[in-house]
Amino acid sequence: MNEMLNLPPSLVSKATGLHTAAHGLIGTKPFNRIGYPQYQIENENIYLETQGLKLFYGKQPVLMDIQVKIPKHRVTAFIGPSGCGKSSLLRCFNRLNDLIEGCRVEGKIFLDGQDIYQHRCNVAHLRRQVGMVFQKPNPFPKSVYENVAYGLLVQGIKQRKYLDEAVERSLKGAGLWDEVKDRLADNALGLSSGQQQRLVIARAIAIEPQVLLLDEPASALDPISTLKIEELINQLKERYTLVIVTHNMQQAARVSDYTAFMYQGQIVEFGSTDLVFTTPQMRQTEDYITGRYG
Amino acid sequence: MPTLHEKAEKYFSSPLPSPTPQLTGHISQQFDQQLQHLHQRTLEMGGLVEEQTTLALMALLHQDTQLAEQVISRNRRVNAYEISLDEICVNLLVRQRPAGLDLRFVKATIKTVTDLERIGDEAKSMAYQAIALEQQENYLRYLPQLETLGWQTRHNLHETLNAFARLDLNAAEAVYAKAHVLKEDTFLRLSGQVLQYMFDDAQAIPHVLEMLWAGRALERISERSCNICNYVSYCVSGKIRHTH
Ligand SMILES: Nc1ncnc2c1ncn2[C@@H]1O[C@H](COP(=O)(O)OP(=O)(O)OP(=O)(O)O)[C@@H](O)[C@H]1O
Ligand SMILES: [Mg+2]
Repeated sequence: MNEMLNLPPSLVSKATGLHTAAHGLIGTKPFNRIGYPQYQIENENIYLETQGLKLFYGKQPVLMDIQVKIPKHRVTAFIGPSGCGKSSLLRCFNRLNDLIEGCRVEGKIFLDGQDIYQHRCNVAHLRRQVGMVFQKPNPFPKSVYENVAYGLLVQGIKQRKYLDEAVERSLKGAGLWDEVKDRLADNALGLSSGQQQRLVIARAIAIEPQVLLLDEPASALDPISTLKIEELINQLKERYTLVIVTHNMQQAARVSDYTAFMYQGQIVEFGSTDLVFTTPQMRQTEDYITGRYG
Repeated sequence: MPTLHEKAEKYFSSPLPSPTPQLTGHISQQFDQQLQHLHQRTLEMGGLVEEQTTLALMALLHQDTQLAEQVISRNRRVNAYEISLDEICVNLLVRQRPAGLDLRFVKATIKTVTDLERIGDEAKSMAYQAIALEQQENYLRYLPQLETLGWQTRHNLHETLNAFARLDLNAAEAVYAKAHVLKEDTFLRLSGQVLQYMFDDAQAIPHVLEMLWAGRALERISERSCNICNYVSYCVSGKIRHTH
């Protein structure tokens, strides 16, 4: 009967008075007794993994021996004080650092089992798989339509019908379709900044990446637009693996499943977001999340 | 100048829980002050409740109805503390969005306040028992144990509040152990004696029963002290002890 009603187990156990053992549910099923998914890294499918990752700008070490596992179809947040290396780490995941002069990367990064720093790795292909969204919305000074279709046009796709479908699907995916469906030909710079940021996300997902990297995606937005982006992130994780950098700890707590706290180029603590924000294991994490850093 | 690596090393080698957690040290001094204010006011409430317990016990042991009346009327102040502290906690949650130690402290305080209020109620019911026993001639001879149990219970409550005041994990665990044993013992010790008195003298049954209710109140106070010790442990260590 429960299957027929398709109730989450949390409700079923409440209604029937049967208490399913918590650990039987955590990680394997999408619901547990606390009413929202709570995962354990041991049970996850790891999609992105670094091993002994180091990064230097010239002689300056910026990342020191980063080992991190990023689970598939989850939101992983990186938090930490300014300058600790969050953006640098994020840029490693799609080799954007290659474009920075004097930047050197050591160690390995596996994307779905493939080392992306191998010589044979096709960087253009990698960047299609790993999309990136930045702090400031950066639409091109072109129409809304062209912005979203951009990645596909670059790939040489020309069939109008295919492009139309992809644009609509991506704008819907980014929660923007209803707001712009009648102004697809308008210049994207005429959108509000919250809309622009969702447009950039639509552009990123139009090429159907596997991973979406978001570097402070909402820090330039008003609270309502911020909440829309957060809700979008929550929906996107059904199809994508998301990695978000944010200075807003409440935001990290709201949107992420896992949180990594970085300090001076190292990962001090990595764990389920619930634990990191209620019972961090390391002093420095606690100082940071409680506002004692300084 | 320590190198970058040395600096980082320092932090990696300091796992939690800290044996001496501090509610202060925030960048926001306002937050420091709000947490300290909450701590202070909760301790005030604790002091009041401890005093109520002491006075109720004295009223009972010395057959002092006036004192008992005083305890009963002062219970309103305990309730007022509960309401105002709840409000402080809610405001603090919404304004500061505490995390980590701060969050655990606020949660522990919310729960502590509830238990303190209940201890206040137990003191009040002991005061009522004191009044009910007023007419009995020298009833204490029936239950010499009540006096010892009473002071032990109050002493544990005092130490519980000390553990809360210092957020002292070790103290909280030590007091928990003592209060727990006392709680388990209280009723047992009293009821064994009570039965004996009832067999010896049927006339004594009504007020011996009344004394037994006082014993029940003490037992509950021990239980509440145990709870508060658990909240302190949780606040400091983040671990929840499951009691039964
Ligand atoms: N292109 C660059 N050339 C040289 N040094 C750089 C470069 N980019 C970043 N750095 C340095 O690397 C360190 C880490 O920078 P990064 O931008 O990764 O930090 P972050 O954690 O993202 O900080 P924020 O939160 O302020 O964005 C900083 O000390 C920064 O000055
Ligand atoms: Mg950055």
